Amino acid sequence: MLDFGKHTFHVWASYGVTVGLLLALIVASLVQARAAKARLDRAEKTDG
Amino acid sequence: MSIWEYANPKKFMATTTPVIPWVSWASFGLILVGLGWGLFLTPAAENFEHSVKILFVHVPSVLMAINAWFMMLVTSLIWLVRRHHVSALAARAAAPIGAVMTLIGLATGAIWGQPTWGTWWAWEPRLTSFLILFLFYLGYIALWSAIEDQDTAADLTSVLCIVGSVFAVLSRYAAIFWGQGLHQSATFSADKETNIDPSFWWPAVLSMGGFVLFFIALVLIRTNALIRLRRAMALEARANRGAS
Amino acid sequence: MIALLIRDLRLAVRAGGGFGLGLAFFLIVVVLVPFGVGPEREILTRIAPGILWVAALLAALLSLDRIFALDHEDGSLALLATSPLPLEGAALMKALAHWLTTGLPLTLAAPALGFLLHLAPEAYGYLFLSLALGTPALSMIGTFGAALTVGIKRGGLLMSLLVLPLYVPTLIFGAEAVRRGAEGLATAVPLTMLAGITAGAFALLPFASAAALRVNLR
Repeated sequence: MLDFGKHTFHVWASYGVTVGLLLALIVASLVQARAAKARLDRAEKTDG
Repeated sequence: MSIWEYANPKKFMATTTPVIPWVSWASFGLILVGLGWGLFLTPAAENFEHSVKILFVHVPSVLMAINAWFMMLVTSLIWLVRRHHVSALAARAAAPIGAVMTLIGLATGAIWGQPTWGTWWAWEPRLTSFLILFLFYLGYIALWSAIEDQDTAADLTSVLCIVGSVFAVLSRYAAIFWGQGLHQSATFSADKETNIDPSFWWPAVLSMGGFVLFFIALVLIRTNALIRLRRAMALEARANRGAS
Repeated sequence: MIALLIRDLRLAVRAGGGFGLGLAFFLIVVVLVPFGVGPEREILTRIAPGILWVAALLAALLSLDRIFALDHEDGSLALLATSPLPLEGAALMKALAHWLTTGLPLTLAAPALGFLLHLAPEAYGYLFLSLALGTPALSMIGTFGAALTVGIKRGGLLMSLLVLPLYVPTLIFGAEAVRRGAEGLATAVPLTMLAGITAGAFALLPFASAAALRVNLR
C-alpha cells in the first residue's frame, strides 16, 4: 500500500467511499434496468 | 429535424441505446486516468500535504451534485410546458444520482476536513447548504415513490423541484449570512479552483469530465429503464382490464 | 373568499384541534428543553431564541396536514375547485386561516414562554416581531406542502420531509434576528429578509399550491 504520510488513511478512505458509492449506484441502476426489461418482455408476451 | 424528436420514447431509446456503452466506457476511462493520476502522480501540496488528493473525488462529485439538480429543474420545466414523458422520467432518473453525488461530496468533505481543519463537520455555509440540498433530494425521491399515478407524480415533483430550487438558493444566502454571524468562515473555503497548482489541473479536469460522462451514462440507462417500466405498467393495466 | 376564511376558522375552533394542540405542543417542547440541557441560567439564555423558533416551527408543522385533508375527504375541495373563486385564492385563504389559528397564537404565547427559558430582556420585542413576520411564511410554505401531499394516504411524514427543508431560510433569519436583538446588535437585515420571505411566499406559493391541488384533483 502506498504511503501518503500522515494522511494515508484519509486519502484511501475518501477514495474508497467514492468508488464504493459509485459502484453501488451502478449496480442498483443495472439491476433496475434489467428488472424493467424483464417486466416489459413479460407484459408484451401476455399482451400479444 | 428538431431536438423534440427525441421526446418520442421509442426514438429516444433507439438513439441512446447504442450511445450508452461508449459514454460508459469513456467515463470509466476518464475517471480511472484522472483518479489514478491524482492518486499516484501528483505531489503533496504545501499546506494540505497528501490530503490534497481528496480534491480529485471531492470537487467532481460536488460539481455533479449541483448540476444534477439543475438538470432536474430544466427537465421538470420541459415536462410542465411540453408534456414530454421522457423529460419527466429523466428528471426522476437523475435524482438518486444527484443524491449519491451529494453524499459523496459530504463524506469526502468530512474526511478532508478532519486533518486540514481539525474537524469532521462545521456549521459553515457551504457545508450547511449542501446538507440542505441532500434533504431536498431525499424529499424529491420520496414524493416520486409515494404517488402511484405516474403523471400526477411527475407534475407534483416538477412543481416541488421548481419551488425547491428557489428555496435552495435562498437557503444558500441565508446560510452565508448566518455563518458570518458566528465566525469568519472565509478561511475555510480556500478558493480551490482559482489558485490551483498546474500539476493538479489535468487530473482534476479529467476526473471532472469522467464524472460528467458517468452522470450522463447513468441518466440514460435509468431513463431507458423507467421508460420500459412505464410501458410495462401500461400494458399490464390494459391486460388486467381485458381480463376482468 | 371571506366566507371561506370564516368557515375555516369556525371549523378549526369547533374541532378544537388546530387551536389548542399547536399551543400545547409549543409549551411542551419548551418545557422539555431545560430537562434535556440542564437548568443553568446562562445556557438557557443563550439557546432560548433558537429553541423558541424551532418549537414554534414544529408546532406549526403539526397542524399542516389538516389544511386540506378534511376538505379532500368530504369532497368540499372538489367543490372549491369548481367554484368561481380561483384555487389560488382558496389556497391563500387556507394559509391565512392556518396562520390565524396557529401562527398568531404562537406569536402571542412566545414571550410568555420566553420567561421559562430566561430569554434576555432585550430580546422579547424582537422575538414577537420576528415571529409575527415569519410565521405567515411558515403557514404559506406549509400550505404548499399540504397541497402537494393531499392525495397521499398517511402523507404526514412525507410532508414533513418536504416542508422542513423549505423552512430553513425562515428559521435562520428568524432565530438570527432574536439572537442579535438579545446581544444588542443590528437586526434590520434579518428582519427585512424575514419580511421578504413572507412577502415572496405569499406572492408566489398560492400559484404553486393551486397547481398542485389541480393535479391532485384531476
